[in-house]
Amino acid sequence: MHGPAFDPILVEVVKNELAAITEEMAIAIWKTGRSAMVKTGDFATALCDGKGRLIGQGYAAPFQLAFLMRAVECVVEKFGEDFQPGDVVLSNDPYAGMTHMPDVAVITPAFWQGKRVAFSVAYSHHTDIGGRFPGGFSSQCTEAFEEGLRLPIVKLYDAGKCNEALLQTVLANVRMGEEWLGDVEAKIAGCRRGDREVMALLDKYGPATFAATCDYLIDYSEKAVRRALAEVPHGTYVHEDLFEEDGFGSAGVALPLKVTLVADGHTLAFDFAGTAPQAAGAINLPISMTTATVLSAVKGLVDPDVLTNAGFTRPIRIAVPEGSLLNPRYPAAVGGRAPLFFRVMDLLSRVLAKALPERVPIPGEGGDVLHFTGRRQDGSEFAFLDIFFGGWGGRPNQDGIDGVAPMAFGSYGTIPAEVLEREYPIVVEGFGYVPDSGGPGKHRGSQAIFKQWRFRGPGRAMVRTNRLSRPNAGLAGGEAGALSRNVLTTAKGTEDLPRKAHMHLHVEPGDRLYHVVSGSGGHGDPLAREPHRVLTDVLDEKLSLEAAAAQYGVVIDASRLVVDEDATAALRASRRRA
Amino acid sequence: MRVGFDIGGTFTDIVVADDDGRLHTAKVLSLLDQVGADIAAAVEHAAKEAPVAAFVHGTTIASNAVIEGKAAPTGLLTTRGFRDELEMRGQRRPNVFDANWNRLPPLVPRRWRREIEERILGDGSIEHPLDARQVQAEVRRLVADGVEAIAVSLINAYLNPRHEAEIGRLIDQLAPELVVCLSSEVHPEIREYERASTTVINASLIPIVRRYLDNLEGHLARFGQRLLIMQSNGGIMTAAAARRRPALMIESGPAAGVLAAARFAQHAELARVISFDMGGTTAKACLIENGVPLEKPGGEVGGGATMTTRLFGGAGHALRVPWLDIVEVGAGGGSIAWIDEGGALRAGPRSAGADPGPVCYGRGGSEPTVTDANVVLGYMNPSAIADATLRIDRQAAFAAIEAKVARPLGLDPLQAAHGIVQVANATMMRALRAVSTERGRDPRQYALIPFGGAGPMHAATLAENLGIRVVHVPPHPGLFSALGLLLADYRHDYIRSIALALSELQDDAVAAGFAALQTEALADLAAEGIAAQAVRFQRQVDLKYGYQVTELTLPFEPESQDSVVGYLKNSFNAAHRQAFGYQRDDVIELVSLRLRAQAAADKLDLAGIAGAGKGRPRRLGESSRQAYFGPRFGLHETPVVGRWDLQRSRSGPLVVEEPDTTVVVPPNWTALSDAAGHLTLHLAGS
Repeated sequence: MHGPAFDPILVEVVKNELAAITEEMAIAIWKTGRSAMVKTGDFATALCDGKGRLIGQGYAAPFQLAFLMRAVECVVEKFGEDFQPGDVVLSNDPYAGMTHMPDVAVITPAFWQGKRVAFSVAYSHHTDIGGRFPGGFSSQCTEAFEEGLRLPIVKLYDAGKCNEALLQTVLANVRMGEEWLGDVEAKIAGCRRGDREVMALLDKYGPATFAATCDYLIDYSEKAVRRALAEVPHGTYVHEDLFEEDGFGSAGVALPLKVTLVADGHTLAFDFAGTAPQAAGAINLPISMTTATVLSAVKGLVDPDVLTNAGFTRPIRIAVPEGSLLNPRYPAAVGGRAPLFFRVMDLLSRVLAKALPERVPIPGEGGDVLHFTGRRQDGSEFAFLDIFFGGWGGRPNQDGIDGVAPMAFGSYGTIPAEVLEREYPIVVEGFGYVPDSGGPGKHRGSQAIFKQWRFRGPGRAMVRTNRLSRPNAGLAGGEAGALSRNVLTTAKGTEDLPRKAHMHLHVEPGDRLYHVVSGSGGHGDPLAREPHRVLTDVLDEKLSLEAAAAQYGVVIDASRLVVDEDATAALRASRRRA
Repeated sequence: MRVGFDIGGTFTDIVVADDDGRLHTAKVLSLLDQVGADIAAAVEHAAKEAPVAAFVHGTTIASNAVIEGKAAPTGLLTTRGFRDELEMRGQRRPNVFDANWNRLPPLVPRRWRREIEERILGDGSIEHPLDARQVQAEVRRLVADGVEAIAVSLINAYLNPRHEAEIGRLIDQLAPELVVCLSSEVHPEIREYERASTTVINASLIPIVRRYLDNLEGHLARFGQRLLIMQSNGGIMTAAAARRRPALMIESGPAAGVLAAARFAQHAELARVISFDMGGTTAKACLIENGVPLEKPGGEVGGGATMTTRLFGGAGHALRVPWLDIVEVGAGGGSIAWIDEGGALRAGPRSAGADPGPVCYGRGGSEPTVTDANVVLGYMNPSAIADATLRIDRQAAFAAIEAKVARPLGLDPLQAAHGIVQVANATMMRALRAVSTERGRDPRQYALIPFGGAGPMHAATLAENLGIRVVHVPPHPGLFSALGLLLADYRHDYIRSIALALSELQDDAVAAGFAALQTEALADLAAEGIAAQAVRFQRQVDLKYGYQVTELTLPFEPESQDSVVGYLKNSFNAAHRQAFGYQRDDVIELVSLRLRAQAAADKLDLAGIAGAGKGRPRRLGESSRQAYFGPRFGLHETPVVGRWDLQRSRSGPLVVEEPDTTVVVPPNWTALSDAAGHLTLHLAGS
């Protein structure tokens, strides 16, 4: 059989087979999942070897793989060798690899000829996990105990036998229990699929070759990362930002975020010293998520097919002060960590751009959410969730992309208005671009994206919004995108809602919410953008004539709709002098 | 006489079947400015005086026009607030790891996506009526901008076509020369982006396809009047129907190949097969059961190989028409081998294509490809292929693999070449797995039917990797798609939205719905010259649990005594249990009715095709060459034979050379050809 030597062919073959298996797991989950979250794609699948080390990259974003890697380590640390065929482990513990409680992971061990050879892993974001606020991801909790039911790595099935007491306890504590259980069943079906396919791989390659290949896969990632890191110019790079949210939407909040990056040609060291202490509200990023965000940012420097795994992390050092926003102490609340996650992703991109200005783009904005719960006219409960995105920021060599899931995300998508309107008491009144809102630059950032809902029944709504008061800045001379907004229209009139990351509302039939996800920053000097591209945006009504002149120094003849070359040259020259 | 011609990216394949069942074949370079003239020349050559009863055509014209942005300038009218959905495409992207990805340009630029003040709600009721004057103003503006076509796709119009129909009448009054497509007619199915995209694709192709078919018919008229077009669903339609529904032609060529495999499977009585079509840049697989290829209700245009995108898509433009469920991956003969950052060997997705092509073609290619590896391994003829029309330079291939793969990896060049083939096979395996294990099929119960220039070279190894023990190499594998054109039936598909829970369903609503679709189908087929009694119908229903995001499509074949609702409930629960392992006591929704109408066309008789006419492979005098079969079997002096040398079973290693392909029989396989030239490979011990 194969020795420990690296086999460049087998590694590629097995990597492909593992990817196919994790995709099959994902398809099973997507087709059978019950909640809106699964339909929109808020889940991930992965495979680990018998030691719990990640080896299969499936349907998952880099950050999701990175925290799952830690979550499975925690499962193995807890149970040691105490795994049986038929076990199903649940975890949602943000202090043990997971990142907030609505995300529940299902982990199943796979056995071949009596020996544990792999773990199948699937997690998804549940509509609810109990606690004070529906949804379980409000920022207004102050302790983990308020946020919902913590599942501290427990077996739902032990050797095939369901722990009914556990199940009943969960169902007695969460809203929409049927839906909760339906999603768990879907994940178990996905993991069972993974277990079966891994066993078939073992039939084909045998345990020795399979184990050796797992080692190769891990070494292979390390080599790829080291090769990429060798290209990062040696030096120390610092980036700082301020975060404007304490979880309660208090005015005047400005929490320092700081990262210092040291590149020495062999390793990348990220130190977050200088970052603010943990907040009282549930906006903190647990260490699992901070680590995952760093790995996700590094992933952007490496070939897209290289797996995030134990080898990948070897050349990366991460130091985060304990008790800070990015490494809070138990029982700090973390349910509303998403806005800070987006911000740290942005922070990391900007520090990496200082080292590699020709390569690193602005990752972009999005991940805003409307969560709406209530009862239909027939009395049945519903939990509606709509997630949608801004788009990508400007890139060193090309524009960002308007209205697409940000780079740090998985392959999320939005649910069609026609599907929402059949299932929920809601009317979607529009979804599209906001003109003049993209960050100006030689390469323009995404425009802001609006969505408007009209509620047809009463209920509790929560809207999560990023970038309400600090815009997504430009890079390399580019400028910021427009801010996010929420405008509520009720029988009493129309008002701009306060600038809170998590806004809770009671809504009545006929109320309308107009929401804008911010534009993203531009890359490079807007005065260097080719005038014909500016004209195209004007013709496509993405940019007004006034904004073409104000943002880009391009003068367009309003009657003929062509670029006035002379006036443009003059305007740009005067701008450069100014 | 009937003529099939398949115009692909590089070559046009022509198969002429005369009335005695003899086949004449030709392969010419595809030159777009000569479409029609080249076919005419080939037909002239094959049979000078005989009239042609029908031309059957497979073409990439429709997909190329969409992918290259060369469709007709088209406007979109949609509900206020929704014009950007056509561009955002559900905000999805195909690859979560690629920060350099760029979206294909939208089918309609934003300036021509116009919003209409109106609203239909999710129950089909009209909340906000149409304003005719506003519609007229927008139409005038689009006409002034020079659009040739307008697509109309309003929110919830799949439930209520009234506003779209009114807009259609208003356009006809203002600009009768414009092409107009309404989403409620083209594809009345829930999901506004997919429906709008489908409607736009159809509208924007109509002017292009009209011009193309006018030209083609002009060239062919002196031989015969009947021109038939292959659709993505594997059926044919008349050129007149294609002019109305060109969106059905997108996957025309690949579908023809799968159809040929399906007919071959029927003929050879193979109940379960997987077709495997390997060309220069991609490989495609499709599952065929009882002679019927699996289908899907829609796909994407322009996304490239679908492998990384098949969960949610996002790479291309959505198109909801019935397609053969073909999975495509970016690996083919032209795929370039390279070494990545981690030191692993990779093959593709970049391809050397036909120009410059592999190193061994000697046309300027310098990067080693899968084809070069096949030459170095001794699988492909080291001096010439394609009936000696294409010269092969083995030394150049060897040198390129040695310099760019073997030396950097510290491998022997033969091992490196074998590695390239294995890595390409791993990618192709994903397509084969996608159509089998992912659809709940155990590949070990299936046989493989390889075709395309390179398919039969890789087939045995791929089969063995999947546990498949039998490979059937059909006659004319290199011209199989063109052959498939002459084997197809007429076909049309229809859909009608119901969108009701079974508890709300009137018992006669389903029968009434199907009857309306049937009337529509018979009218369409009558226009194509097909009598009502020749038409076969298949009825299907789309069902889901109320909360689910995707439907299951099931046959609708109730017994006369069944209650419709009870029948639907039982068959859906059973199908769900089979697909996912459980059923629920939950609301079941009837989403849509689907009707498929088919009628037989004159077809080739597959029996004896291989041996008939000029296409008969010549019997090769036996020779041999060194071929390498990996560390497991090593280097062998390998006999090179013709298909007709295998009328008694022989053990591998063997290389079977044919004018249009090469078949590799590894040492642990055997090969046998029957009297009709049906070549079968068996894994030893099976």
